[in-house]
Amino acid sequence: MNAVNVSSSLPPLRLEGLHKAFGGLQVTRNVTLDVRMGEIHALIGPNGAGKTTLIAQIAGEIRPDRGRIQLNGRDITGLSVDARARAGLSRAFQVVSLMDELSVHENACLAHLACHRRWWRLWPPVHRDVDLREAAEATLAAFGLAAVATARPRDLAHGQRRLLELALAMAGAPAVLLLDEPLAGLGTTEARDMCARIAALRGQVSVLLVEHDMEAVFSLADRVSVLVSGQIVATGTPAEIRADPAVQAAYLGDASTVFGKEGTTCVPAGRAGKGEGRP
Amino acid sequence: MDAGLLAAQVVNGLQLGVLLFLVAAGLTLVFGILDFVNLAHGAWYMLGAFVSASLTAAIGIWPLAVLLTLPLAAATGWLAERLVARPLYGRSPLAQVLATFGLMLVIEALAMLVWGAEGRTVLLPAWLTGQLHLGSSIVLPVYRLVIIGTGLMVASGLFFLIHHTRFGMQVRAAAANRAMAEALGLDTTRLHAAIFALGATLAALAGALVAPITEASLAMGLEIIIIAFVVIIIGGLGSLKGAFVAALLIGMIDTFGRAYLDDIFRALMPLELAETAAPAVSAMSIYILMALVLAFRPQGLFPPRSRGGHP
Amino acid sequence: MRLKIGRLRQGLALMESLFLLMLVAAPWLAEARGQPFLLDLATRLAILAMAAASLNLILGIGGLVSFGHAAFLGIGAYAVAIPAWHALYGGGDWLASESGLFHLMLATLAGGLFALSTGLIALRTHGVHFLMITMAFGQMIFWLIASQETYGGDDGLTIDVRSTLPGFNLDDPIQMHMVAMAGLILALLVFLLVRVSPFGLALAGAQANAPRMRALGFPVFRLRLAAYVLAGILASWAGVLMANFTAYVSPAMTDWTRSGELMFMVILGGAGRILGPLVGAAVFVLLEEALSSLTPYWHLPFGLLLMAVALAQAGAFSGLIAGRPSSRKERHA
Repeated sequence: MNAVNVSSSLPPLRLEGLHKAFGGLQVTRNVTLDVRMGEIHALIGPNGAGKTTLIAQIAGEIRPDRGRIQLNGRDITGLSVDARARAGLSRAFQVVSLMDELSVHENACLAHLACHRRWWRLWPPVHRDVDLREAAEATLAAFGLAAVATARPRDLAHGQRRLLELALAMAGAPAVLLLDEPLAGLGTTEARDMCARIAALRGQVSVLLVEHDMEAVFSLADRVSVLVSGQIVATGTPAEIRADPAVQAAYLGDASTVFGKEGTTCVPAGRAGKGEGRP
Repeated sequence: MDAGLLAAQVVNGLQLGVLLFLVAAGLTLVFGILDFVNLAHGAWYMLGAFVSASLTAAIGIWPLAVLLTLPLAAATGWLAERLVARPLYGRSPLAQVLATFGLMLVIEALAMLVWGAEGRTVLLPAWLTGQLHLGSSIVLPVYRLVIIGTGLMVASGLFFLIHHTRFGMQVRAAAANRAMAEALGLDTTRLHAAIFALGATLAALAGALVAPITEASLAMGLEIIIIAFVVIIIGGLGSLKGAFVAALLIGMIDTFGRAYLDDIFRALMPLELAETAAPAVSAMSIYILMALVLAFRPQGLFPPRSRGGHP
Repeated sequence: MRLKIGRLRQGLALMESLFLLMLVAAPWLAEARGQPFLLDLATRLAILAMAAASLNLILGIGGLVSFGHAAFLGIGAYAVAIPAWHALYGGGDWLASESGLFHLMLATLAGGLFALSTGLIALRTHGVHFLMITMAFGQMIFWLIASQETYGGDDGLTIDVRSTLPGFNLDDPIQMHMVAMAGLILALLVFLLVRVSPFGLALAGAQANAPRMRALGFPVFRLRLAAYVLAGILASWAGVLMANFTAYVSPAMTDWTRSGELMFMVILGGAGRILGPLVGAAVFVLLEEALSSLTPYWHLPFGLLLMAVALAQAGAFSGLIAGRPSSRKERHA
């Protein structure tokens, strides 16, 4: 997996005309979307808009009825979940999904084994593989999890689990990251920390971010797409989206409460307050 | 193709299918609703045969003996659910399988204690041993027709129960979403006991019906459980309709395979090869069918929609 | 409490290692006690433990609950019996052979192919589904073997010759035992190798959370298939040993109840523990001997024990002995 785009003219992630229906219900309607190189592209929308289904289609859990998904120009629409991951697509799950029965350290080891495709190796044993262990430890340290390396994920606090989730997703230096509600359930301090980490991803990886926390979205995102009833109704910079009447109409009620004040959750990148906004 | 022989095979196939359905129905219901794998399910098939045999010997009236077997089966089924199944709900299938495997062995040993290692024959009343003549060449044993009739009646009764009664609605609710059903006030504990008992009763009925043909034997429970598993795998775990279709399919394929495969193979290939291949394929036919179905539909023919979304 | 558990584990490991040594020394121990039948017991134990160790590979590491593993024992056994039969009675020239190497090769081929073809189908499911399907495929082998009247069908086949292995005479009980011990130790070493390897960690990760592993890029299906084939081949080799030891093969070797017994051995000894199958096989063999000499209804106490073990395994108790906390194996695909 590499973060460098093979061809600079191709977007890292492109969705073209995706359609999906369950029975009579059209859940995804002609969705076309690009995630540009190194950008953080937020996907927002009211409940029931179909964000989860769309993410599932990109990840490969669900097959779209029509349309294409391209990763760095390569058509991945027919690929399995693991094949897409090997092609450079990474995912951090909405509901934290970890290998709970293994240790945090082993979780990190697995992520690194994956990125080097070493799953067939019978030698050296994991506990004797110095390079692997060091890489795993480095990842954990980068996310502040070094202290809990020997613990099991199920014993961690929710905030730490979210960090581990992100750490695993980033371990392989993916090209594209699907980041699904990374702030859900986090307290204020933890959320700020997470925001800072996400902001630091800019440029390293191309991110499709699904979030409900509007403050975070508007301070983090380079561009925002709005999904309503399975359709993209608008794509643009945060400012453009905030001003878009169609978007305001889609979110019932007072738009100002939704798109209101500047972030207290996240400190916007480039406008870091003193001492804040570290990766 | 001899019409008489063909008709006989059709009857045999349907009879086998119907009996398989009676055994598989309980298995699939218990799995679909209780999420419980019951390896001991075959024990009731065996017990139904032995108990009806003993009762027939005691009271001399076979149909009555069969009827009396049923509540006994229900009672023991209810007991097994309370003592063995309940502590294992929600546990790994491994624990359930080991426990019910142990239970199967226990019941088999107890049966050996009570009835001995030898099988028991059951004599049918005279009015059931006759034959039905259709046209000039077709002669069908009345008893097999009785089995088919009984089985189909029970099957339709079961479908009516599930789809047109309040109990059935509760069963379907619990199958669709147990947590929600409980939250809505459904007493799932009693429901589970009832379903388990129902499954045991059906299996016992099948055993009682087959005993006059094949005699009651200790091994019959162990043998039938596998075929019942194949039925519900093909039909779809938890699907009653699937169990019905699969049971009849298996009954017919197995019967026709044993009857005609030999001739077909001899016509198609050199004798030596046919002599090896024919018995092999006919013995393996239901497993080959299973493999074929799974190759195209890993979840079986009529999988019920899963609860809670397994990826 | 932690200290006690650690000590318990250490003590257990020590005991198990001692037992392994005892098993190696069985011929001399048996002679010392003047009971050659003990050597018989020890050899049978070793072969069953080897089969259980191969099951431990997929069950203990990967969480694949296969209820058809005994089929491989049968395949291996008939990979000896059928060539031997032809060597004695003629016919099937390409198949006739008394060479142990030929038997092993045939067992590897047959066992590997069976594992590959059934694994391709079965591994697309998980949990209970997988369990039932492997059970059915195991029984399919039963019927395949039973249908062949030439090779004894239901009644089985007595083998008058042993596999010839260069340098070994398997007719000699002591040498037979040594070869069986070699097989057991091979299986244990393979298990150990896999257990600590990246491959093994990947299998364990897949058991813990297969969807997450796929999202990381692991080819979970292929990994499991490879483990399944490896385990099948090892068990087939155990079958080759079994045929040589008992000089009699029958389709009953492949019955699903035998698979259940193998599973019991793995679980009792602690799934995932290296010497676990040894303990489990020992308990099973000794129990079977002791109970069946006491009563013809030995299935009764054995069945009760199975139920007790299963109920205990279902709880936290298993975590202490097995070294891994009891997991909801059903939760993730």
